[in-house]
Amino acid sequence: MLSFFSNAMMLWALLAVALPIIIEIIFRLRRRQVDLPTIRYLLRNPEEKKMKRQDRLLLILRCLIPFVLAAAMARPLLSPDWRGGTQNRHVTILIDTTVSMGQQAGVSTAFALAKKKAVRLIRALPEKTQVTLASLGHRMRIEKERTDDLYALREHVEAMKISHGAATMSEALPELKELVTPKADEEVNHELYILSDFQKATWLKKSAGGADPVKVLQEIGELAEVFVVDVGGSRPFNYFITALEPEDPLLVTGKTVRFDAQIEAKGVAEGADAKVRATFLVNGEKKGSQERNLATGSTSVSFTYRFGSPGEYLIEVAIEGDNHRLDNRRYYLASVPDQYDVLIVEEGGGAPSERDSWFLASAVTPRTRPGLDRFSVFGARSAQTSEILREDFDRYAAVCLLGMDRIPDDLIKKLEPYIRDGGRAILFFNKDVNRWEYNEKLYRKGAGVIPARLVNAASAEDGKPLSFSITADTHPIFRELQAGPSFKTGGINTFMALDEKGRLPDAQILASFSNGKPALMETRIGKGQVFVFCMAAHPPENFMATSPEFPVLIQELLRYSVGRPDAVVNLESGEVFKQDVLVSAQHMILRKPDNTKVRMTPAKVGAEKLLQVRFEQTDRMGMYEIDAQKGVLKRPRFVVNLRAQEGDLARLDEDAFASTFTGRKTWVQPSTPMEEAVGEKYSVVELSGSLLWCLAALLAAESFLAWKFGKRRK
Amino acid sequence: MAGVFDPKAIASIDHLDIKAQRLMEGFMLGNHRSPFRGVSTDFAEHRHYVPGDDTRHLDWKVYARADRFFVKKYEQDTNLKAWMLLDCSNSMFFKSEGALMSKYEYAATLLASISYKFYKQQDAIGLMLFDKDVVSMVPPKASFSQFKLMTDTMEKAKPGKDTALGEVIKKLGMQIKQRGMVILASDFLDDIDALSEGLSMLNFEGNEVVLLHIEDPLERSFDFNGQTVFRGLEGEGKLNCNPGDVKAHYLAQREEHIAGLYHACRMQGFFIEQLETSESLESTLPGILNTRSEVRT
Repeated sequence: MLSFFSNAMMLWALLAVALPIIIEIIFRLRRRQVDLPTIRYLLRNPEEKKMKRQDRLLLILRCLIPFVLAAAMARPLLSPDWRGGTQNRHVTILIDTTVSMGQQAGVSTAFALAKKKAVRLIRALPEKTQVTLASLGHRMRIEKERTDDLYALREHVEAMKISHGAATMSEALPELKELVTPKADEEVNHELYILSDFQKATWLKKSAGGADPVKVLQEIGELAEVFVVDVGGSRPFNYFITALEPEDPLLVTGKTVRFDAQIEAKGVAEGADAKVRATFLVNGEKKGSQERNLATGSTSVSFTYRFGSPGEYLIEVAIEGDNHRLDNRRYYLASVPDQYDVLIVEEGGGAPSERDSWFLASAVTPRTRPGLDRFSVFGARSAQTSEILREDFDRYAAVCLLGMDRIPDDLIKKLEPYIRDGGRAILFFNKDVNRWEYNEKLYRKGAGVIPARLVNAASAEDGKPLSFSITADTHPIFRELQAGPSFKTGGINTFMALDEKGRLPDAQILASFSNGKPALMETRIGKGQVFVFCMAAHPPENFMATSPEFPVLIQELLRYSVGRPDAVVNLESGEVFKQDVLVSAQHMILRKPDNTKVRMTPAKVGAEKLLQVRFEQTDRMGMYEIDAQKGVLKRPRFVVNLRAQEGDLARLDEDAFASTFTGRKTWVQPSTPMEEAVGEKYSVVELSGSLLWCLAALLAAESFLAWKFGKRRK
Repeated sequence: MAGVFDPKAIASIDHLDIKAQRLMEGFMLGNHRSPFRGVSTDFAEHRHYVPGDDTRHLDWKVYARADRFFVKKYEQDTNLKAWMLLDCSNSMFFKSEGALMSKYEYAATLLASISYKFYKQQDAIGLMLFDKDVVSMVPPKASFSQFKLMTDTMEKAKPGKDTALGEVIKKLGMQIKQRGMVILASDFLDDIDALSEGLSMLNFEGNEVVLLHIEDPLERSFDFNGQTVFRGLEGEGKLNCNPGDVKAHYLAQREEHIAGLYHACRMQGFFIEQLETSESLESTLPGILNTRSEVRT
């Protein structure tokens, strides 16, 4: 009947049962012997038998007390076998560790409550029970599979930490179904315990490629006994920062930038005057704070800041005003250079104002009046083809080529890898370009860096300058310009005709001349981008270069091509960090926000077998740093923010869950002890508690009877 | 055993006469009333003259008054035969710390003192030692050597076997041929019914019986502490108990036994005195004799 003793060593204490008997014997031996002639008065005492019975009863009680105490200390466990259960069972426990589990639940958090209940559940299991422990953070993870070391399992549960992930049950339930599906010739009772706050975002959302959670849970219910344990809080009100972005993704020193933070109130606040306080920090230093009334809905707060020196900055917004503090911060990691350099390569030289590149350079870096914020984040540098050898193209945000008669091989050797590795090139074709050189070296029958073969340079017909028409008017580079047939000023007198039929398949014509020929094309070469202007960048061939719209076009084109340089280091929980390794390294150490370290080894990816590091376990919010030598990685630090959906703590209560998720399952309330919830059939009952109560009763009975018997005899 | 002749005790009763309360049969003219009416100075009663009576006893004054003949009858004093019956069973040799001497010594000294008094009164004294049977017997005689023999016999006595008081008293009664005085000293630890039957045998013979109930102070108080194993002295066995638990019962049983004893004595018209071995004899003896005298008068 008793399956085992949890603390069998204490059974030796049962020998203490003999103590009262030994004490009684010692006292008897030490009794004095007295001769009494009148002993007849003592004999035939009708009370004697009664007193002997009383003494015997007290002795029995006194022997029972150490017996019960020793038994209680040995912690006997009552096996479920006696109650019709079975020991042949496999128990699977899934603990929801998504960020919403950090919400307040009573005096603790939902996650702390879930761990406590899991530990109690494991403690109630008999020895040698097979248990699988899984967690759902930024993805479903098997912590321990089919282990029977319950002590180690309890310790593992107690050491678990909440993740900052936001995976869904639609990802987890199919894996759980596999765990509880009986294997061939296996006669095992499967039980599944899911400890969760039943957040709607976790349970109802179907992730891409995920299964229907309702259907899968129903199928699991056919295979196993399912217990859904509610550990959620009762007040799902939460403030959550859903976004923190700079107004301009290209941040440079000396330019005031505005950061916008979006704050949402999920749920309904207790009072109508609920307030949220937002604090803005740069590299951990408080730079400002604001307060808003926000009982429901959303609001935004903005902070402006001017970076004084180049470097990498961690921008942070922290909010206060709710009970779920885990999601009250959001980070933005920004690289802030002095400017984004643009290289303009040309054949000719001379004073800057006399060069062909002057107009383009002016468009890249318009002059800023003293006292005002700089207008452009770009800085132009002109270089002759003879100076190319000294240039490191990788430090430039874009490289512009003006038309040239001869293209040095050095230039090709630098330009092409630069583009294929993610660089951006803007090419201008004037009438002086050596078409043969360009076709041979830059087009190379479609294997080069320009989208189409140069056919011939032509002039505007009838001496009438051509106009520049936008054809892809939804393209971001034309956002600031009106979509129309032409610019209002300037005209194009000569243009380069391209072989439109032979152009690369993904080459896009963004603008055309008024004669219908392509004026501006965009193509992607490798990881980089190439923009081709089929015209010169300077008058008299192209008077558009003198128009006020030309700088706008160039600025927008550069912004578009540079894109969001900080996007790769600002991730959300669950996203994968990827970065090219610039210099070969055997391995690198990544330090996570919780100060744990992970070894990362670069791997060759792609057809070109380029080295890249990849990290998927972005389950914690905060700063990640890779310890690597300078130059190995372009951006060795990145931040991970929580997903917006986890901010909504709205949850399914028992009725809503039952109506949504039909099928066999048992709902366990937060206040219900796990042992009671699971039921006697499946749990091992520890008897030591009952035995201790029994001991207390025995002690009380012995004391009472000893007093009562002594009183009667006086 | 130390000598039973206690001068102090004897001195304490020296001034007292022990007179038998009942009519004794004696061959000598002594202090004790005789049931036989004979020559005596004490007038007892008249009866009608019948031919053959001694005319010296005619009461002429009555004849003068009544013109009828009556003879005088006189009470005849006689010598007493006193029997000392001493219990020498094992229980009598018990002595506790609070007692002056064992019950046997106490009883023996007491009886020796009384015997000496009888001797001085020229009464015949005899002795019987008994336990569950008669151990030794000294027939009554009125002489100093008799007294000496009695004291020697008492002094040499050893603890006997257990008591069967009722049976032995019957035997004692059968030994006493002549009516006399019987002084019985014992602790009377025997069945009351048997005792009563035995005592009635003594009364049937018309003896004057004085019972001296000897108790040890510890037997009276049962003042024991702590778990104790009590051992009986006459084969009753052992009892392991807490004295506090059984004291009430003990005292109740003792009271009942003594009450039964006293009732039996009252029924037979015997005098019984309760004595404790912690009380000195010189203070006890006069009290006993005075009490007898008061009862008599």
